[in-house]
Amino acid sequence: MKATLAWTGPKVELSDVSVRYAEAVALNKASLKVPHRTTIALIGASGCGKTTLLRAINRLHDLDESVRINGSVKLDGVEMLASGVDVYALRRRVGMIFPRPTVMPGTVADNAVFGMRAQGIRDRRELEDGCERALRRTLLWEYTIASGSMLKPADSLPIDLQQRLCIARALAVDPEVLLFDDPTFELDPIAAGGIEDIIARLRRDCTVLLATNDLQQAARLSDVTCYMAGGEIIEAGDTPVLFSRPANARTEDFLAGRAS
Amino acid sequence: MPLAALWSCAGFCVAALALVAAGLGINGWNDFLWVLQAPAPVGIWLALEASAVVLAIALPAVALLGFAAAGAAIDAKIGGFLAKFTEPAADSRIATASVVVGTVILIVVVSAGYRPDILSASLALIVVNLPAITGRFARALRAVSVVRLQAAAATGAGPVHIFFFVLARAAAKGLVAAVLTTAAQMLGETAALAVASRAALGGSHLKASTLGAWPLAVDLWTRASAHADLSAVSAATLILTLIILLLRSVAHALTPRAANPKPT
Repeated sequence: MKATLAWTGPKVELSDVSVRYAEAVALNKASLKVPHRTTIALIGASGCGKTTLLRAINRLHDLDESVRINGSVKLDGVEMLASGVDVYALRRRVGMIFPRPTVMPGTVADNAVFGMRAQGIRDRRELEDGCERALRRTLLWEYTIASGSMLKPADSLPIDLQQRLCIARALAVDPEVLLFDDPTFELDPIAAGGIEDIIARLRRDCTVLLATNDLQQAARLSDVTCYMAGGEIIEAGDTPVLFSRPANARTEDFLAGRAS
Repeated sequence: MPLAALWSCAGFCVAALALVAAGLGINGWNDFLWVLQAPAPVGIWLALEASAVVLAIALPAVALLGFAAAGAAIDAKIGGFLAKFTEPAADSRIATASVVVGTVILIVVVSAGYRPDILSASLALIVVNLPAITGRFARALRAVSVVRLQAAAATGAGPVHIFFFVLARAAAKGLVAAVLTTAAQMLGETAALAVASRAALGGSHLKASTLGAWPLAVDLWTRASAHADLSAVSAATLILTLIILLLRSVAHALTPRAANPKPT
């Protein structure tokens, strides 16, 4: 009988990852281990490399020819920066949500199943099931049914619901890791609270990396917090510990709102 | 082009239109209706039909080729090595030269002994307009937010899926505007081609077409140079101008503009 060994190491592992935009270094030898079903918050001033680090994980930097990336990014122990890796399959396993809602042309339903269709799924029943499952997970199902907006253009939704739809689009292809890049950037506190509720639910099923400028949000949602500055990871630790007793003086300055 | 030159051109066009309208007013608007109702060769219906035939042949072909070229130019993953050749067209760097190329092709075809017919005029128009429509398509496609494309890529979609289901759909209005602008240009450019080839060949080859009439722009030029009834020529000119203006206006209305963030 063939035994299947489960991977017990970190879900995502970055080792000495450096990213350059032309001549500018955006990320400098960043190393980070993200255990299964853990939520890690990336905090730091704007331009410190949070987004760059997230994009290194799903290889979104590949879309920009001027970007050079070195180091190692492993998912379940398998190198993802190697040349033979199926990038499209990787991006289905590692979903990403952007700061501004980025709905696709078409209806709400079209958006929810966008990733499934891109994957080649054409079975109507399967698409309908996937759509319902994704919209339920983002608390959009009841709204779309009650308001009759399932077949309306996605960009006609209020902005917070558009962001939920973007999360649903990522969830429809059953990702194992979710990258949230400042997902409440454009939202008011109430709408942001709704998105946070969804992230809190998703933490149970997925590994989550959350880049945010909202320190309270990081404290509320994450198990581990990672402080970045100047393209480097300065300090990473359990969230309550890092916020109450940071080991590094630069982290302490940042949390206190002092320029270091 | 300096702004003053643009305003001068616009002023000249308006003045010309006003003169044509004044001519019609003096000679009577009956001529306007008459050229629409009279049988060929006095009326312009056959010329309008010939224009429609030229558009029906040339426009789908140039739109299809231009769309493929623009797609290849804006995404190297789709275009492969072809992107190197289509990129200059997408940047409209060779658009001006193509008018010369198209005219030369028509002249060469005629010089080789072929009678210039609707088909050869259509082929020349395809060559003339291909770089221009490619550039317009590329501009419409490039107007789509890069973040939207990145979001599509982040779901695991491949470049072809993104091109057809995100880029082309998001740029649909701009693409339609490009087609309408090109149609308007084709309606006017037939005259330029005819003038160029007639000047080169002495005009003996331009007396007939396979449809019994030339497209309206050529027809007007022929009438005007033959000193035909000037009020009828004015009326026909106005009709052609109105058709072109209508196409350009719809295209202008469809062209996406940079969205300004709404104050909150």
